Amino acid sequence: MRNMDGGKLFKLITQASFAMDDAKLFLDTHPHCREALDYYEKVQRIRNEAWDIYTEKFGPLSAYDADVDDGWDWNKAPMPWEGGSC
Amino acid sequence: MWSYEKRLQYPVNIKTRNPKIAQVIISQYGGPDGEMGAAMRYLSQKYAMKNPRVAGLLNDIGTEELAHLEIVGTIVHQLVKDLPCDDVDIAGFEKYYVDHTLGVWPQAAGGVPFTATEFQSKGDPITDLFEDMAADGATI
Repeated sequence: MRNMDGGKLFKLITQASFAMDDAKLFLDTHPHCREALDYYEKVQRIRNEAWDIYTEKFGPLSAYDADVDDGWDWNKAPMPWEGGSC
Repeated sequence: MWSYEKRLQYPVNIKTRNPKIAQVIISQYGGPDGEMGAAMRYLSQKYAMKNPRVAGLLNDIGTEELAHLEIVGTIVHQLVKDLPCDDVDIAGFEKYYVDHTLGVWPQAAGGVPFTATEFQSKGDPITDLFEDMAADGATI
């Protein structure tokens, strides 16, 4: 994952997040489903790894992760609604 | 509280402008069965839900509807982005343009502004769930 380019990492984050969004709603009403819990954990691991590498290489996707050593890059272009990031 | 992730839940990369389609898609932003109504519906109804698991579910659904709202807003924005002045009268777009130019404003396709009267919050969980089925089931 470490040698993926920004576009590939971003796509992986989008896909893993989408899977987690769906599994989350299922788990809200099936909190003891072992299969769903395992799936959530599996995709969560992928998302966490991709998220950390992306953040380190290309900047924060959450303001909570902003590294201020290089100034304030949180609201730097491109904004998600302008497209082009995936 | 909410915190923003700098990404769309689903990517939107529209290459061709289309003010005609934008005027239809805008209904999914601020129309009667749009994402704005959906988000406000679930996020308002959660307070009356007595089962904490289901209240949490309503909060999660309402949160996801906000992400959908951003996707639809992005679609409308990209469909009319940088539209030349000479093209604003394509397919009757001038009637939207005169009030909002190329801005994204919550309205139904017919021009009716977004209104909270499109959803209910009755303080009764069962009544609210029936309203959710009528509203969200109808959009599929």
